[in-house]
Amino acid sequence: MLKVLAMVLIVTSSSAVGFGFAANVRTQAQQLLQLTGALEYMKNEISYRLTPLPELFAMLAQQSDKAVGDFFGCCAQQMAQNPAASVQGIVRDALQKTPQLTLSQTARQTLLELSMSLGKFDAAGQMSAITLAAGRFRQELQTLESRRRERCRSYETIGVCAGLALAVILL
Amino acid sequence: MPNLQPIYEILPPAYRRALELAGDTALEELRLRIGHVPTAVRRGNEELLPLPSGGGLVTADDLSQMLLAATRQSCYAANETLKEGFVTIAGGHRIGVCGTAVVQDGRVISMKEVSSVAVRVARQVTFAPQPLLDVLRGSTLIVGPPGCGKTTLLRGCIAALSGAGARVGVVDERGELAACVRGIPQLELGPRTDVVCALGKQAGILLLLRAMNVHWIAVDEITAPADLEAMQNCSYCGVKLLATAHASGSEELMKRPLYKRLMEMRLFTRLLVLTADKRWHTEGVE
Repeated sequence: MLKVLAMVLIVTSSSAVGFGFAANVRTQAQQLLQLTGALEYMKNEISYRLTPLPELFAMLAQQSDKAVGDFFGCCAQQMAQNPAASVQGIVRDALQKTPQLTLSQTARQTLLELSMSLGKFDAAGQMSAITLAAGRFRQELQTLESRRRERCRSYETIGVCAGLALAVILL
Repeated sequence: MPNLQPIYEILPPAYRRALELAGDTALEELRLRIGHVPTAVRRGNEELLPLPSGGGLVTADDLSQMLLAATRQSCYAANETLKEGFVTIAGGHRIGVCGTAVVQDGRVISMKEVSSVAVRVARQVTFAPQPLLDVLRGSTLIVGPPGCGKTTLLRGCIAALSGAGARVGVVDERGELAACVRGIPQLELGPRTDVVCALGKQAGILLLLRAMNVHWIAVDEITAPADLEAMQNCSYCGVKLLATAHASGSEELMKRPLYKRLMEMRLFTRLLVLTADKRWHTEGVE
């Protein structure tokens, strides 16, 4: 009886790890999609209303869900607390303080590069920097989406199979 | 006493500490020039700012970071005024910028290599409303030499009229009257005042006439023939005018072609003449 229970536990936990990885990939794609939308909104706000960054980040924090909202909220809060802090420093800090934002290294780098231009140039300069970042996000999203199904299935299958194998070996 | 907190927030830490230690109530201006110790202007005298340890000469980095902080890390939002050489921060304080202008097709598009920055502390000067209301019966032109307080008196007139029940529209082309930050006037202009910011006088006056149904329209510094035409439109609509002009009195007004034309148009019924010692008296317009 105990052996069966242990086997169930091993398979369940191993499968959970596999399903967790798969869920992570889905979350990553969802967050990238949200970030791309946020950048589009940012572009419109800057070109139409010249909204300053502290207000813009606060707006994006309200409009975006979960991790992406937390990230922009963190940026807005830091800008309000320290008006002299650089945007790049603020974005880097916010990325560290939002571990729930599960972006790839490339996506993080894109955000950091964007932060180097944000606020420093005229509206046209902002537009080109944001367009560039949004383009990179779209590209990354496309790559992620194209491999998402197979990757998710692989993670889930590997999780279950590894659990079964482990159970057979151990028990 | 002016609120200096918005100025502290944009200053490099060492200068901020120096200013906080000085506990400045008399501070009029703070000037930072590359390669020099910052200076503070109090009662008209410009003196070196005593710096605590860790504070040194002003660097290019200090100034560019200060400017970014003044624009709340959003240069694009302040680009229009930056091209004119200034940014207004919370509290109505004005940051004047000097450097190398970037010119494209004969137009200034931005400012690079900032070499000096002048922080002018904004102060709300209040006037007793009744003496002003006794004078403000019809369109009034405030005249006086530079630096005598024309804009301050104009602000007092707007607040007095607005407080007494009149709807006043203000065209604040250079952000000196209301010093709006995020749409909020940083200097008191009364409860019935509508402010149009960053728009030329002609377009601003037309907007107020069309959209806001105001009793008075106030503009600062008449400088161009187009301003006169816009003001003439006001008089046709029965809206009274409040404006300022650089001149020591009615005689000097008549010597300048633009102001001579203005007087001949009979747009104003009264002159409020300011003297260098910041006193004012009225003169009727013949």
